[in-house]
Amino acid sequence: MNTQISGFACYLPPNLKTSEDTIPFGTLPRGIDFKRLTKIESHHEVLEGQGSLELAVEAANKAIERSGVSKEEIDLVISCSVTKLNSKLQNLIEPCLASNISTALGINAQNFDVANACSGMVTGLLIADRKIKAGKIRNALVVSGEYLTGALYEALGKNLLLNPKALASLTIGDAGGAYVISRSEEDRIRFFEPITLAQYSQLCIGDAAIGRPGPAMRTESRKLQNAALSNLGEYLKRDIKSPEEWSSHQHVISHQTTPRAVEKGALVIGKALGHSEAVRSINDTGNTASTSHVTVLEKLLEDGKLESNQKIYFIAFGSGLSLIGMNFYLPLGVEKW
Amino acid sequence: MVGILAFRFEPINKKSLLKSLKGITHKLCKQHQIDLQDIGLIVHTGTYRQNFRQEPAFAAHLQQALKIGCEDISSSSKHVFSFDVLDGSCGPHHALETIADLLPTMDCKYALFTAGDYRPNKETEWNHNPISFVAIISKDGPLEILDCSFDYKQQNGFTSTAIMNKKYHSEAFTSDPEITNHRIEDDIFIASSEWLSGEQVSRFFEWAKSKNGIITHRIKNRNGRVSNLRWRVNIE
Repeated sequence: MNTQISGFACYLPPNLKTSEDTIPFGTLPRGIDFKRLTKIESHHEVLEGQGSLELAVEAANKAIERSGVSKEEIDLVISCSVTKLNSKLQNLIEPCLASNISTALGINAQNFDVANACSGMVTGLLIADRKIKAGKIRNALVVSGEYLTGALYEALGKNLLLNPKALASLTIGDAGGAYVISRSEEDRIRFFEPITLAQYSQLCIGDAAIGRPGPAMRTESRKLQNAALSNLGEYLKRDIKSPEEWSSHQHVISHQTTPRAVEKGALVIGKALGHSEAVRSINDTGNTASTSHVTVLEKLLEDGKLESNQKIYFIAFGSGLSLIGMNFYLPLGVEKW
Repeated sequence: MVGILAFRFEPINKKSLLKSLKGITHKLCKQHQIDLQDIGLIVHTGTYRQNFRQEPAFAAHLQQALKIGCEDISSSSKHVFSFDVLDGSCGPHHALETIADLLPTMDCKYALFTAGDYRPNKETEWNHNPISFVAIISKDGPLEILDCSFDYKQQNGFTSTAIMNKKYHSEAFTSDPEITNHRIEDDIFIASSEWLSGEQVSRFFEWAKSKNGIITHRIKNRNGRVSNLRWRVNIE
């Protein structure tokens, strides 16, 4: 049994906030300009009444429609959000977010949550891929709703000079993302070795905030970025056997921490395998955690840069520190979506 | 075919979940002469984490505590993949099935399955006595995972959320949870809805090790979601 990505979609709530408005000059200590530091121009924030569930459902409906798969044909729903927050910043414990998403979509299928930080959606795709290949399911919805900006405002409420680990929270934005993965006659998805470098597992921690609703994120950003960058080249070279194989990817999409960090990643990629011009980044969403890859794909689609059968490489990084690579061919007819 | 090779559990009492799981993993591996470095996949399940933590996966913290696969990547380095699978008390079934799907395609001998819960903080009411549970899963373990089925038609309106209390978040419910009592019907082990993940699996496997043939572990959790995991027991 083979697999393919038959649909994908990103939902960005239409509440756009510029970096100047949210994090004006003077917010960061020592006169550092946030926009110059990160190259993030803006991010999106939930509308009133929206939480992780609503973001996920918006993206899922769009991805299902694009896939041509009916809801009755979906046998598995995996929710991969880091955040499982309702619109009041309350953390959903039970039932799992995947259950709420399935109910909202009217899908009666096995459902559960996967927690693997910003690598969650690629982990979810890997699990779904293996279930399809084992002949257990026909199609799966891998979905995420990231209501992250509660952590951004938690950080802005802190003295950032005294709380430097809160700085990374300023880079985030809200988004929903979804993929439909399906059976296929030919193999159109390949996963590379999934790895957790757990010696770095303490470098980014997302907990419930203390003294206020919602989440709080504490990150040793420089150490985490260095750990990711210093392992990226070797990771790629373990499975990609030649620069020719690597250059067959039309678009390389890394986890989007900041455009500045993606530029640094592109340099590492260029040094390891070349073809760094295929590395894509966006500057108007911020870091949308597990949905960041599909956010870039959607942007490329909007810009008319995606075509049927183009080969995409995803490199997922997540707190943990996890690294997962995958490549896939874009669905036929993607340019008409 | 994937199955449980060995398992071990203990009440967590006043220990941290992490220390408890680390300790019983070491004991289990020593008892069965399993090299920790042969573990290539760690999947954890549970409902509650310390201060309702959202990232990283608990399994990554456990991997670090066990010091396996904790070296930077080189052309010859050996690694581990760790993540969590969650669905309240039904979490163990999804997690075990996920291992059964992934392990045969991975270049490692064993997966480590763990279950257990933390009291999130002192402001959260806590009537549980959680148990930490670990199992080594191999491609030929004697407790073979067969298949899983799910029935969500009886799901009710019970929800649990973490909401801001005085200083910390604490758990709030929309209604009383649905109670299903533990009982055994022929070869079906029906779990109590009040058991957390570690108790779900520890009680089931204690019962299962005296059985042979095909048996079923059924969990109906407190909001009415039902999962059935079928096993083939080949213990001689």
